[in-house]
Amino acid sequence: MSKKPVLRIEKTEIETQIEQQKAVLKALDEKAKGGEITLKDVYEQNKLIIEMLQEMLQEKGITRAEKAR
Amino acid sequence: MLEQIGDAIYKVEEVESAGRVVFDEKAGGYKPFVHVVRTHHCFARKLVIEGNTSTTINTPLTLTVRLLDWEGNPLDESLEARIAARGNTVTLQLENGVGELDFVSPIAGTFKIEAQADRCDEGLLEVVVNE
Repeated sequence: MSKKPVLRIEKTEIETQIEQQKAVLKALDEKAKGGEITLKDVYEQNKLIIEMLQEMLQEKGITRAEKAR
Repeated sequence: MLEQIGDAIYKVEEVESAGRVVFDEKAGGYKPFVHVVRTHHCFARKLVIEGNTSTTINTPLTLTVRLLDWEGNPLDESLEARIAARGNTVTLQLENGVGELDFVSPIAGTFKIEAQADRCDEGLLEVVVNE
């Protein structure tokens, strides 16, 4: 009997990036809960959130532009 | 009316030609000229994908691909099908009209899975992957 093939979805570059950003934010959140967060961490957290928001807005903009075409 | 010609099913319609007439010897008069128009309805064979329509991240979901005739009756044939989702494709060998594969996704979302083969209507299944 032949081996059952596997249809595997590959993560895109953006999906991998988002996952990494989420992991960093989660780690920073844990740090904050433990009271160990530094000013540098807060800066890193804010930078990440801004980056993610910008990507979301850009993505939405592209989708809207595609719909408009 | 539907008619099978080779491996395709055609819709057959009689359409009166505007302005054109033909002499009817039996009736002894002119009548509208009628064209027989055949349009592609579907192929004589189709693929269907069966299985659960939801799973979770990285959990394999077993799907069955079946080869049926256009009226939904199973066909006992072997053929190579291409199964695709979001640009990822695998080849599945259907033996006696049936083949099995696993679907795995490392990310959540809704994925359209398509089963295709030459001269065959494609099968579609939407699977929701939850976190």
